Amino acid sequence: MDAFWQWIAGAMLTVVLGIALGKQSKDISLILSIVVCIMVLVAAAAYLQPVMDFVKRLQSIGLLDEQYGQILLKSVGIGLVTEFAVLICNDAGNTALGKSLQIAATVLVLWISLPLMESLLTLIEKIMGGV
Amino acid sequence: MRRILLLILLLLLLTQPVRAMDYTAPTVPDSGAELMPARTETFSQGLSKVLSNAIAYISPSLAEAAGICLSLVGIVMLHSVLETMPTDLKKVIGMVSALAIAGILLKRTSTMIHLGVETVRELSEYGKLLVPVLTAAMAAQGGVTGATALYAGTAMFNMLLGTAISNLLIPMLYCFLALAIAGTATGSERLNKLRDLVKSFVSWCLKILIYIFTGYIAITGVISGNADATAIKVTKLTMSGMIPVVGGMLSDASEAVLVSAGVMKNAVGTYGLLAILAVWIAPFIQIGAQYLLLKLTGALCGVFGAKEPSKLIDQFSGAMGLLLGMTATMCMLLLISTVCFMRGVG
Repeated sequence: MDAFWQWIAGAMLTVVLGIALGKQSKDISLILSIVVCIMVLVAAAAYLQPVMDFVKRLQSIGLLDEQYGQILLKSVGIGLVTEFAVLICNDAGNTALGKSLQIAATVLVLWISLPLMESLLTLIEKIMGGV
Repeated sequence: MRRILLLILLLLLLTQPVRAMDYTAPTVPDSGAELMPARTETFSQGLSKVLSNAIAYISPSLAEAAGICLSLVGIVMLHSVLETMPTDLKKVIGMVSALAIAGILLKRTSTMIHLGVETVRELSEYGKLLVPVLTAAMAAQGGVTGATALYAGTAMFNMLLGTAISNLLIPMLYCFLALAIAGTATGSERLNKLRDLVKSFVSWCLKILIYIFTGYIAITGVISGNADATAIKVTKLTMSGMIPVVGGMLSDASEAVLVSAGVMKNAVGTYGLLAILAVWIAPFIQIGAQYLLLKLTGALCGVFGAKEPSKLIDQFSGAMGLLLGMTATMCMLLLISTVCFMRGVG
């Protein structure tokens, strides 16, 4: 819980510094906010690991096909990283770059989930054959 | 002497072959045989034995179903991380998680649907064997009109319901599931409305069939029951009035025959009721447990804030509910007709 307050304090300090620096040098203000964002995300990732372990344990109890979990995990990862990148692009005023990143991530998620769609299609074909 | 011999020969010519009828219930199908009690002394004892056997029989399957629900919770927990995302990427990843949930649940649901279809088929086949025996026993008790009407109704509705379930309602159930998956993956409101329409159609079909059947049973029961009771009374009166000397004795003897036929019919009926329950109870508990577990998982996933995945899980539990309705309708049809046969004349 202490770490959470530290993140909030760090974010607030960066905002104040950004406002102060923004008048003289916008570039340094942007770089500072990117660095702090990365630090917060890396710190949060350490807390996400036990959650992921728990999810994996749940999936192993349910004898779930590992492929499904992997695809979803990768999709969530791509989603979070892209979200972060898009927000930074928007902060820097490059909205078009942010949008294109978003489109690229969507295509990537669809490409990653192809095996899942194929296995679902095979299952549906099997069911349709039995009806 | 010659006259006496001729008289004896003539009397021999007048004799008719007589044999006692034996009414035995058809043997229980293999799926229900394991659950049937060794002895069927009373219906309540038999029922408790069937229930306890069924619970022990399906325990491994329940553990598997619970495991699947846990893995669903895992997927929804992963999905809930995305709920904070403001961008459109959330929709695509939501689609991926909907497909993952569908992949996990479709396999299990398909197994359950096959189980349900097999149960309906076995119940229908068993009904086709049991009902003629009960009809013959009821006719021997004097309820010829009632037995014929009940047989006709049960056979017709058995065939109608069995055909409707396997050829119409099961494909509609798959259609419902396909619409539910597509609706959740794409977030289309039109697909969701179509899905609800299919669900209502299936449940209304089942309700209408069971309403018509119970209506038919109630009407024919009153009309034919009274006709048979009157016919028996008239026959007894005619017998005791028309036949000199032994008429009264024959009338009393016929009463004893009718009572024994009724006892046999009730024994066959009790065995038949337990057999129907033995075939039906294990799949019913299995599908019912899956239904409840999915409801619970849906509610649990709702806590994580993942609306769409929990809605999809709820739709799968809805499909289980429809399947429960199908097997229960077939079982009710046979139970009601068996009880009507057991109720007999009057």
